[in-house]
Amino acid sequence: MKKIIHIDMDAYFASIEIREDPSLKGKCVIVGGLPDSRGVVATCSYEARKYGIHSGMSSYQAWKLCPQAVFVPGHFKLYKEVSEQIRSIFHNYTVLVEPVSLDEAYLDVTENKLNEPDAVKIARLIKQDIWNTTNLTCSAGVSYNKFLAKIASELEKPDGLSVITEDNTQEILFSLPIEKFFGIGKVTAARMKKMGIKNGEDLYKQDLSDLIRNFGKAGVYYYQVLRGIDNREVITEFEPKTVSCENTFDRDLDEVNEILTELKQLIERLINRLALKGITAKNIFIKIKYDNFEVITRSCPLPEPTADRTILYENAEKLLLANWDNSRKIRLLGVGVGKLDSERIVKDVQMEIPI
Amino acid sequence: MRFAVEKSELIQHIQHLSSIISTKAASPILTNYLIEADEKKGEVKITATDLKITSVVILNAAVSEGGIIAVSANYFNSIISQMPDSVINIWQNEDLLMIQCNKIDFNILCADYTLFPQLSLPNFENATLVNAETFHRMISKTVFAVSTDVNRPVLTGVCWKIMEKVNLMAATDGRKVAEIIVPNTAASATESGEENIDESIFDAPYSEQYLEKIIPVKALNFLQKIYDPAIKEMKVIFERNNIIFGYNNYIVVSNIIDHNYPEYEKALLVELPHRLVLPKESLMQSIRRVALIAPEDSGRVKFDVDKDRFEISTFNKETGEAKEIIDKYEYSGAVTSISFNNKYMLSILDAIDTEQVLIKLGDSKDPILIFNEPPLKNQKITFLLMPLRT
Repeated sequence: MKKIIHIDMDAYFASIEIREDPSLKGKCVIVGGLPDSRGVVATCSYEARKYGIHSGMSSYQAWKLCPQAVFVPGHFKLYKEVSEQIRSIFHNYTVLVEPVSLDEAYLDVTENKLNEPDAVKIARLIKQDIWNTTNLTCSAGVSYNKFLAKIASELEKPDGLSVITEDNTQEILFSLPIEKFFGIGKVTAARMKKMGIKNGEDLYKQDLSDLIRNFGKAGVYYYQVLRGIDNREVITEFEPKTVSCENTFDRDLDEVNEILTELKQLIERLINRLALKGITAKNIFIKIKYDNFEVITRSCPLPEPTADRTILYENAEKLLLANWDNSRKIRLLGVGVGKLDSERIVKDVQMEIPI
Repeated sequence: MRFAVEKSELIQHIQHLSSIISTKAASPILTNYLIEADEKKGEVKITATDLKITSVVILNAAVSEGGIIAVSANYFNSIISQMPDSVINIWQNEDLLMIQCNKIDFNILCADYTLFPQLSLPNFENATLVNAETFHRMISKTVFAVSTDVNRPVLTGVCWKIMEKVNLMAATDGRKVAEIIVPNTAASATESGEENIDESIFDAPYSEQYLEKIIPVKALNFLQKIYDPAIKEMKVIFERNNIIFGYNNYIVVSNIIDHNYPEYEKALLVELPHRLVLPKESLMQSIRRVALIAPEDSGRVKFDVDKDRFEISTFNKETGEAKEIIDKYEYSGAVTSISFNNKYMLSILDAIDTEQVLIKLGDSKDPILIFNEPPLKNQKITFLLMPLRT
């Protein structure tokens, strides 16, 4: 049985802003775009969350919910520096650290540098170290796989420490509302609720075959995690699975030529990033956010592993024209590639005339 | 042998000659100059050769005693260049060459001049007369495009074609092409309806047969060095394996590259739909600036052009990214992106005469054509650059 700790910093960006400017303490602090900028909320303090504000929401909407909120532009360089400090703390305990984002990481402490068999004790030490070094709090979840460790870190936020053992797994998962399950988004949660699945217990009672019929591959995942099965390793070497670029327009677009021009520019950015990393892709996807914030993503395979401008553009254009409901305006357009292959280094080839 | 000559007269010529001497000479004698003094003519001839190209310079000097010696080119050059600006006396004393100026004396050991390759002076009586200014210009528009690849010797020279009405020079290394075509004579220029007559290459109609010669780049670079705008006439003799130039007080004999020049012309026939026109100097500046961090191997720089946006950019895995938005340009055509080696592009732009440059583009795999804008009246100059496929 493994020992996994999931560490999640509490309202990370907002907490750093409050640490840097204590006058913000106790206020609704929103890190992200200004309300008149079409930007979005990157993160917000717990005070702001009480108003229903959450990350990803448009700054304008957040401002309407809480007009007295303080909007702070992000200082990402600083956040990154603090994350480096925190990561070096993790590495005092184990080499198996998987950073998920700047404010979140999994640690496998089955074997650890202290030879400490009690993972809860290690989690407590890490929390203390982070507080001593950065003056920031985090929540820790301790369990025997990644899925449960993440669930555990959510249970007592902020500044929490929870443990899910084999004995209390069922008890905790059964009472958990299904939207709290990692991997179940708003749309799936709504579908499940229609089917009468409100919490972990309801989901547990579903047949595997029903789950597969209704949710495809994800059904197998739901079936397994409800039974405490999650065999994913803590991955220390992080390889990106996709590379993408997107652009929120200054105004919503519904003119096809304008949109295709934007797509062309996105493809250029994408190609530069592929070339910078020296990788090719076998799969392309587009993301459309309509003016009502509804998002669709559509993907298709590419004929060959490629980073070629023409091939990428042609496929992205096909995807866009086939899936865009052209009676609706587009607020944001994104394009990305997946199934990356870093072995196939993209090299410049000087072309020559045939002589 | 004994002669006296002004330092200033001697130094400029031997500095040119020194570029003929090969650093990897096939035989030790080739590191020497052959110096011959002729008492009757009052002339001193200095010869340098690397066997492929031989150059002789003829100086007027006060010769009091004729003679012939061979002396280390390297020592001779450095001694003369360090002498004060005054008359230099040079004479032979058995196997020593004495070089004396004011109170400075050098005694230099000579080599055995009989080992020096013999060159009989050509007879320029029936030579073709060439306008040196036009010839100089044709070289300067093409010589940068030759290949340095010794495995393809045919591409290491510039192709000079003399046709019925026009003269052509072209060079390519496969990645870029430079071609200039000028009218043979003022008459043939006028026939084609043009008025400007200064840009032709011959004074008299060319009556010999059609010629195609590939001249090695070293000979052309030497001719560029000795070019003097005040001297317009150049004599050329075409031999089977050699080409001989008589210019000013120099004689230059060069081998020619005995091959058929590859058919590069087809590449120039490409139809390109997009036209970009902009000031040349500022474009060169922008390319140079962005290229500061371009990858060293490929030199990749990219144009992203559309009617309302023109961006020059580069990215480099090792160093980072750079871009510049260009405001001043005219563009007719559709949006396109094209990558190329910035050094090649700059070498071409350097050869553009006009303030504006016309760049014809297609898509990312098409060649790029570069022209003077507006085009010159009597000379047709075309540059082609092959892109980088990324």
